[in-house]
Amino acid sequence: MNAVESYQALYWQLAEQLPGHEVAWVRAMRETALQHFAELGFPTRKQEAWKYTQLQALEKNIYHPTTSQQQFINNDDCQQLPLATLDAYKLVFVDGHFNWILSDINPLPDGVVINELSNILNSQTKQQHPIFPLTQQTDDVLNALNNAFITTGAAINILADVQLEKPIHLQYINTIKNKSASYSRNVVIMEPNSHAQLIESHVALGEGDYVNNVQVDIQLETGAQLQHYKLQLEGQSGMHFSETQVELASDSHYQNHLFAFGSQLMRNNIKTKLNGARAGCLLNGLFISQSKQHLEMRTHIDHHAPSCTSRETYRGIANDKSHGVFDGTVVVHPHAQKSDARVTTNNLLLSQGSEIDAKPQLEIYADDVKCSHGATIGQLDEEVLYYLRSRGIDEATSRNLMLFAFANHIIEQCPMNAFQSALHGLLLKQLQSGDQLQELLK
Amino acid sequence: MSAIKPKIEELISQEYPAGFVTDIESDTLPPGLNEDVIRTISAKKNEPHFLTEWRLDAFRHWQKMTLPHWAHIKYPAIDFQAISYFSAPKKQKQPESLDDVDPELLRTYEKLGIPLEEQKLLAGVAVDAVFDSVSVATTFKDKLAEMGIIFCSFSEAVLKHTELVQRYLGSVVSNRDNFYAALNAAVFSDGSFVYVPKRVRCPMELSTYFRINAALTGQFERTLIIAEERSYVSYLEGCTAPMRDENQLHAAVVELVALDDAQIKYSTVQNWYPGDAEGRGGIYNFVTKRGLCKGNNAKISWTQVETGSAITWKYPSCILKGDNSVGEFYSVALTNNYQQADTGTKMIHVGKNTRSTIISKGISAAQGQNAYRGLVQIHQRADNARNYTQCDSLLIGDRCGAHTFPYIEVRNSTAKVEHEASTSKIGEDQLFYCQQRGLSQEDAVSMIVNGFCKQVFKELPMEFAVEAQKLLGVSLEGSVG
Amino acid sequence: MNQNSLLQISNLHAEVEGQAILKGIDLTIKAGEVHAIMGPNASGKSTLAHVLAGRPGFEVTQGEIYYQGNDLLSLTTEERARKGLFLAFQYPVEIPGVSNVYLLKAAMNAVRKERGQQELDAMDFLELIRMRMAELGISSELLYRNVNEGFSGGEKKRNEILQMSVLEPQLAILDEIDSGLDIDALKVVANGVNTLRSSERAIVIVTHYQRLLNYIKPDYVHVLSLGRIIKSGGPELAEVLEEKGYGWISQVDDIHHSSSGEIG
Repeated sequence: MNAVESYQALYWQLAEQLPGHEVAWVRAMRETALQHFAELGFPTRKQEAWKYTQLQALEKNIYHPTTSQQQFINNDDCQQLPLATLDAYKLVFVDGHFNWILSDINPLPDGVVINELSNILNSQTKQQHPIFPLTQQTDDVLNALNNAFITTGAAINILADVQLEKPIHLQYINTIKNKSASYSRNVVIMEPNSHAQLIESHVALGEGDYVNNVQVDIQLETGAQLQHYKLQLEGQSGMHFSETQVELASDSHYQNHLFAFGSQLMRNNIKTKLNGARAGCLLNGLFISQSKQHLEMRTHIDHHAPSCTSRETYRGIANDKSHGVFDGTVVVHPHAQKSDARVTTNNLLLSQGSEIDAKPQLEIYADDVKCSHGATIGQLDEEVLYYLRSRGIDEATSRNLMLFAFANHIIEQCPMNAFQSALHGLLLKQLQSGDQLQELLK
Repeated sequence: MSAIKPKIEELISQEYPAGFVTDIESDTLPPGLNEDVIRTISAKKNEPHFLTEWRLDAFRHWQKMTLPHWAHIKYPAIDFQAISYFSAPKKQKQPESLDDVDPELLRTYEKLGIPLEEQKLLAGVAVDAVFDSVSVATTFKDKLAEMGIIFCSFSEAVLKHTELVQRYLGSVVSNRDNFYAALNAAVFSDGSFVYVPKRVRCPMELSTYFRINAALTGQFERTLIIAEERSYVSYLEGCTAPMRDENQLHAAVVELVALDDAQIKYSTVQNWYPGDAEGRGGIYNFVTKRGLCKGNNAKISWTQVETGSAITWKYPSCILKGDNSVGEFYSVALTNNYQQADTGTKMIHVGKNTRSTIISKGISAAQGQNAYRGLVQIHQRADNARNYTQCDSLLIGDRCGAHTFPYIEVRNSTAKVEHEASTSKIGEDQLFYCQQRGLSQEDAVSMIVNGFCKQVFKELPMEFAVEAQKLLGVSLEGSVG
Repeated sequence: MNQNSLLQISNLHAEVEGQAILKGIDLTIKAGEVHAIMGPNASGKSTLAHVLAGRPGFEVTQGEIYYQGNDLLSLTTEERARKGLFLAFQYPVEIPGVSNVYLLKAAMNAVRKERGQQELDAMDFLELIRMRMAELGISSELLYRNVNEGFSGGEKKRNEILQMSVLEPQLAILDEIDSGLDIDALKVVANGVNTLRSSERAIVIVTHYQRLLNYIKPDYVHVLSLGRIIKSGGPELAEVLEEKGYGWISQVDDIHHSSSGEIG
């Protein structure tokens, strides 16, 4: 049996345990996805979108979907985790299953509706949840697997004109020991002129070899605004696959701030469709990779309507034998006049054996546009290093200070102060002897 | 359907001649490709055994290959069995006089200020003794021979300089490199060969211009240039006027080899028939060009101005193998009407302290689609490698497209790579300003576009640069208003 | 070696990217002195300044430098700085993402630690900086801006003097601190330097023009040409140079060379 067949067999074996197994449309959705997965098969590096990512690990070992939370964790464990203490409406998912004891969303203010996904999948009454875009097919094999095996997630609806002050925090904790996978999907609908902040954090307790496959579908209606923050701190042997799809109506605005430090393999995809006039998006990201990590950040922005603006800045620091990839495409479609797009990626290679690949791409089919991209791959500026040392600051601290400044460029663009300061702390932990800097930065 | 039939259709509609012709004296083979055809081509040219085998190896491999689809171009399927792979140029249908030539073409020649006799030559009119390109070429050849420089047709080199050809042929672009390169290797007709000995600086720009007859065979052209230690050569390819051409598919290969401290400068002005304003006809240009900086401190510089062809698919590249070697790529690509271009370069840094520069200017007008595709790859041992890339696109009109597809792969932590790209439309205020000063809109566009391309034009040899500028103006005609 | 000297350079040869720039410099500087090093472009003035500060890539091929009685060349760039050697850059570097106040604090802590002094607390630190900024006419807004980023030419130079006055060096080397300054800014900078003059401290002014020396009176003037000091004298030497230009020196240079050739 090859790997594709194994995953298919796994589905049939588990079908009766997956949420919604008694609901016809859910079963149909899963089986269509499974079929699609089989058609796509596992990608090879000859496929343009998979030039740099290798999924052999998923073929070599068959990762079983988790049917329940693997290890017990109490509230104290949970509080120790990064970002846990941020004041937020918190939904906690452990190993692909919603944990209502650790979650804290009560009382939710008026105008905010949050449902747990397995409830929706199990609900017989509804033919199909009205906000559910699950049946959409993509040509991504990981997305197809997610659709087939999905167990949990949050469905969030912010009603028109609601300005939510506290952020919503989706906290994903993985305690998985070995060779299991969790599949979740979140749906966020922002009705006209609503404002909200969403935090997504992915952390691990333990050192298991697991897969975390997360899909997020976001829909911004006219004038809606969403700030989406994401921290990826999976365990050293974990794999993080994520696809975020955003659709923007006119005058809406979306921000995504990604911070990726964890996992042995990450493929983070953000697809943004600017469908209405004057919509805008800001996609920023930072990765710091060590040992043999492979961290890949992929973005795709479609300018479908006139006068939209997109801004992207991704920065990366690669240590040891690690590998960082930025693959970002902007497409300006015909009639999307007055599009304004700028993509920037700056990367530092800190050690021999590390690798950075950058693929900033522009496809433009309208003429009245301002589009540009810039990419740099290099090292810390020797001139600056000399200047700092000539002021008496030792070389290691100088380098750290420069690395901090380089990374902070992304952090300081986060509008949420509490998130910013939490990230400063996490950044210092990522830098070798970053604690020395901490003193300085007080 | 249309009055002008696409060339391939024309070829397909040719009657298949009775039986397979193996007559070596005959100038044309029937359409189709198989091992016998390749053996016949090789035999007609009296080629040595190694070359026949090399062609056959390419063919056998080519049969297993599939057409590349990654480029940002669209074109109907090509029936490779419908093409005739050996056709001596002089037997092609030629106009009797300039009266038979498309008046549109003649108007263009006038604009470019091309002398009458040259016009005939370019338009493919049988040329009389007044303009004897052969004798001109011979005069130069004698002078070059004194310095030990070999400059001759590829066929001649195969016979007279067999050892050099055998040593370097396929050493940069193998006979299995890619679909079109393999096809070229199997069936190439002719091309140019240049050999510059040690410490010799070639005193003049070498140009295919002087071998215009050979250039007409250019459907599957193959060029090989070898610059020995400390030598220098500058090579010009193409011509600066729209050339009438009977072949729809072009699949040329160019190989450059630069040894220690050698320098090769290769300039191209490509202006094959782009098809008409409705996108009918035009050349498909699928070219593989690659230079190898084999020695230390070697330098290879590509400059191209691509304004012709319905489809341009070419990536003149440099493999920077020698330490301290330098690669450069300067390009202007213009697509008007329904032209499509997918062009760029590859800079492969293998040696230490290698440096490369890429300057690409794309101009799209009408329904033209223009893509820059480039790879900068820094290998693990390429300490202190440097690359600077700048790609700018200019859009004229709202139906065209401009695309940028860079690939940057860095595996050395002492390397520095910088890439910048921008896309914008031609400035309305600039246009208005020029028009207010009395320039016609067309002249204003031409002037602004020339300014946009200046960085590249200054890399061209002087006389080429002037003509390239004029050519750009002509190619842009009808793009505004 | 001379026990009283703060800096003693003997037979210093140095090269940059394989090219010999300094070709035998001898110079002794005592605490309390102000030396001006003048010379035409490409004479090696800036190279000398950077060799003293320990710029990577500037290689000393021959000779010795003693600073405070110790071998300067065995110290790293930052060790030299901590021991009180300060170089004001001709082209101060812009440091994106690092604010001026971070840099000042980090530098000051490093220097104070070396001197066995306590780190200043935040209040005292800010008070000191604000006072020095006011003296130098630097807007306090610059404190929270990134180091030199978007500063005007004059602001960058004043920022260098600010760092110097805060770090209180023993040996301050000012590399073309006057270039690009208008007369008012020049006076401010000169004033900043003059207030630092003391019997414990030596100052080396590297400059192309005599103009700055109207405001900071040197005790000694040295003329550098093609990597050698070809003439030394008192402040009057600068005036002669101003009057006659460097052309006059090159004639002296010829004589110097031919005579040394005979001796050699």
